[in-house]
Amino acid sequence: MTSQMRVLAALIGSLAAASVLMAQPTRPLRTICVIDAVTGRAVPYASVAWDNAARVIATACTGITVTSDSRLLVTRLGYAPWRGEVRTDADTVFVHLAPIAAALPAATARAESSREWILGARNAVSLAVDSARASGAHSTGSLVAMLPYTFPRSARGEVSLSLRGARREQVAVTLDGTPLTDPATGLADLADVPLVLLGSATVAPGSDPILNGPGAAGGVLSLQSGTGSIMSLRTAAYGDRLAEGAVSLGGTGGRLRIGASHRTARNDFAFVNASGTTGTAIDERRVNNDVTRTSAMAQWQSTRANITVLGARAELGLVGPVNVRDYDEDRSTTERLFVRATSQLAGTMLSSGLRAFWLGYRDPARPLFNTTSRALAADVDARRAIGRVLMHAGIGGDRLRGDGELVQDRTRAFVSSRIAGSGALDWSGGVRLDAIEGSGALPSFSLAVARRMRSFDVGARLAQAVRVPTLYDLYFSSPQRITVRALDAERITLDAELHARWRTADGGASSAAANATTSATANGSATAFVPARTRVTLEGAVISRTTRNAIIWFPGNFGWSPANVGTEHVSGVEARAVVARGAVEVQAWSTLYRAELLSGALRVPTPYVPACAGGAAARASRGPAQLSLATRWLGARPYTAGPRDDAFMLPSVALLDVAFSVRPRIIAADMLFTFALDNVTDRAWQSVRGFPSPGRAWSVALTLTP
Amino acid sequence: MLAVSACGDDGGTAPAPLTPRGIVVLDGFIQPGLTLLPDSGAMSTRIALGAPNEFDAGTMELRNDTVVAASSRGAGDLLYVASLEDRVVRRIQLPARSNPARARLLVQSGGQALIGVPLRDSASLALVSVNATGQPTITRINDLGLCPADVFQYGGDLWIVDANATCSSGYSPVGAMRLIRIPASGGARQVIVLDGLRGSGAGVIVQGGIAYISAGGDADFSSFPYQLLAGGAITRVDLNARTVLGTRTMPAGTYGASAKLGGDGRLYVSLYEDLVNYRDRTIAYSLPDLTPVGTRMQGADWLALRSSAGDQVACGASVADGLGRVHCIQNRTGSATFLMVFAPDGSLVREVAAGQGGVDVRLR
Repeated sequence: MTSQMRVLAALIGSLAAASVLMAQPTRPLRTICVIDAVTGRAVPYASVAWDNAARVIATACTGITVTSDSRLLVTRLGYAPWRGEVRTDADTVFVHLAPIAAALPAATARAESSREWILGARNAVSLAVDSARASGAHSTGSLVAMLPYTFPRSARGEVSLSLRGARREQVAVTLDGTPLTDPATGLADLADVPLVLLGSATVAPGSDPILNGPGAAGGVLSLQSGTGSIMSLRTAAYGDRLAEGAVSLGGTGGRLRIGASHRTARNDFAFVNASGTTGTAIDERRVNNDVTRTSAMAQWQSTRANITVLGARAELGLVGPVNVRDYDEDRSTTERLFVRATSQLAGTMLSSGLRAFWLGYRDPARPLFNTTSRALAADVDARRAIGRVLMHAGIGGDRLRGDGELVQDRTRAFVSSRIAGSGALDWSGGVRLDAIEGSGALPSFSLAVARRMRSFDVGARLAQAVRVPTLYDLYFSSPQRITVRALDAERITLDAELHARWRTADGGASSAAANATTSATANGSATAFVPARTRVTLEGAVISRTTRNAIIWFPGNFGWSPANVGTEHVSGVEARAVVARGAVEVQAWSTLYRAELLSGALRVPTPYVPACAGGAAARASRGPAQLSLATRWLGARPYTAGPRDDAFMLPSVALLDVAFSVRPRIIAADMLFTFALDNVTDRAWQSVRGFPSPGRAWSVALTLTP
Repeated sequence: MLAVSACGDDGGTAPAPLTPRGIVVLDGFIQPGLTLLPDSGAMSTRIALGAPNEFDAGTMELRNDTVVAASSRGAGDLLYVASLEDRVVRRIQLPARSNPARARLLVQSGGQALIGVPLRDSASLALVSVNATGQPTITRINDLGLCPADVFQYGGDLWIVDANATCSSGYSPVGAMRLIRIPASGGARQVIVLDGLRGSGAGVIVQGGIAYISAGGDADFSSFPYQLLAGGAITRVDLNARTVLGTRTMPAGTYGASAKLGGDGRLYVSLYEDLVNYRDRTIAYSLPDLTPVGTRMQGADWLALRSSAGDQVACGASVADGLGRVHCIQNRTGSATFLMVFAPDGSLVREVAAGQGGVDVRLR
């Protein structure tokens, strides 16, 4: 072929190609970014199928060639499939996948060119770990304390939380959708979850019976695994030392992330004992309050399977209440194992999980009182979308063994279905039936609707839920300890919420502004979303919850014992405001709750639930530096399960934390240096009566992210 | 088991008055305090004692308008002194981890008030006096057996009941209880073995030169079904002759023996019918022979206390006034406490709310 012929052939080919392009409005390349609709975080390893083509997005975004009317099918383990057309001229299309395990009342998956995502018709807020670290967070407990509407508390090294006026055991804590709850106690100890494991946390007050089942009466704290490699070192007051790190390895086939965390602390802080017998305040120091906590985790993530393994071991000094020296030598050891595996088979997502807990209590002075207990929970479940209905079914079992012939076993199963739609109204509804040995068949439902407008959203949600007795409840509820059904499940007969959110027209999502959650960018990395103009978000919720047959631990005639006692009512208001402009961001939140138990003539306010509480946070950035201030105010709160009495109330307290961080860029890693002062004003306070919290405490942390 | 061991047995050296000026209920848990009720009506007032993790007393002593109670080592080793008249509560720190058993109002040789507190884990007795400025002074008497559980005065001497149990490690009895006499003259101590009494808690009532010493018994709570090792009993000791007169065992299968002297001169003993259902029962004994008396259930020693509907009523702690009316407390749902008063024939004559978490009742 001569050179003239080659030129002619090329010209003909180009013309032909041009004619094809003119006939079909194909754009050569679009960037598809897959985003978690709840957290706004990038979702790696999603599969995109279109026009008889398919690709795995190993990071978060990928370039594909599609026409303007190409239909996309985006699937990802753990998320509801998204189907839709690309109806935008933007170069980058953000696909917001709704996590199957998250507390979303309505479908939020949508393709759009903006970075906006919506949390749905509930007062839910997310916070990215990266952002929290810059504000001084060093543990999962401190991460949660930065979230609005949360009420974490701790006495002996453990961390648990209350939401929306609920008791601690009425709050579900999940990791990637799997409960972390100890079936024996109904509690999840946040201290056992290393921060290095996490990418973000979402607090969703309110019952969530469909996705989380029994136990999520007051709300859900949803923890999401992190991605990428990270290393962090921290030193702080009272001998607190922390080293943690994670390494992410892999490519298009999958990603292995392994990590570990080790923390030691003396926690021998000084405090003022104002409740001594001398009538004057005395300077004292906590003893036997040390902690050594080690955890390790491994995660495998691919399009075929997700596997998470987390092991934790903690040795604690079991410090006693102030003025009680009986526990000055007592020790406890806890070990926890969490395994979760998820895969997909012919359109059905299969998951299995295992939770194992071991608790040892040692009293050197009285070895006869040493105790050991072991709890185990295993679950298998399957999710499948049938048309617009998401079906979910599973079986599981709980087991408890301990000294003193402590034996409790329970099997359980459930089936649920959920349907959601969007249009003029976003809506979702679901029903669930739990069958639990000893408690029978327990139906529950949830119904939510949201109307989204340019700058105003309004939503409502109704639910009925249950909470079955924990294995300890069952063990202690009957002196015979052989009665299988000594307690009925407590039933949330009504959980109602009316929620509204207003934001400036160009305001984007409240969660972005409020919490500096991050938005995925084309290269797959996570970058802070800095608004260009003043953005204001106001949101609030009016809530009401009624619980029948509340399971309360009241002392009986022979030791402590739980019982179905009366009816609990919680009503209240939650509100939050966020203002952001440029590099400055301020948010404030407040809750007003009336939470009390009615039992005969007794009116008992729910312990540790303040009638009024609030918090505020402000952040200002300049270049790589950031200054963060966070204050939290807790109103007076009762600490006993008795009638309201000022003699049995913890006083109100306001706390202020300050953190300064800087992110110098060095070679191939982001470095975050954080200096923090907690409780700057050195307030003496107690989250649990008799257990003083530290006063002013400093910390220095260095975090490297390759 | 801890709760029971810490509670010990009720007792007292002061008989209840013929007609009560009022009723005092000790709220032992949730919101520790004293609920004060008049002899009629539904009104009540309350005196808070302290935080629930600093109070675990299961019994109190009331004399005139002073109430004393003590918390064990698990609740801070504290002595509580409350004035019902002034509504003032004083907390006194006892030696750390000494494990007080209970508090008794005693009298010094000069007539001044004195409080005796057996310290179980240090085998000693704390004698607490408070001076005019309110400062407490604590003196200790040591070497009081294995687990001193109660103290009283008679004939100018101090008498201590040693439960003879491993109270510092597990509350297991290692032998029969002992009564230790400490002469006021300073002479040698005398030990009287109380062969019929076993347990980790004891209570004493002195009437007419005779000490009625009650012990709750012993049980194995380490595994189910709980095993009763020894039932409760009451031993009579002639304090002048310093000899044991005899022992009345509680009905077979029962556990506990918490005794109070009623205003009608009878001994009212609260106990559990068994270790399965823990149904509270009350037995009235005549003195000095300890014969079951009163309107009793058929075939049983315990009183037939009936609600207005005619149902049997279980009472946690009971004592009678001088009219023979039995005042008892009952904890219901939510540990809500009710005071119930029964006529001598067992019929209910009064029922009124009386706080929450009631563990003891006394008549003023």
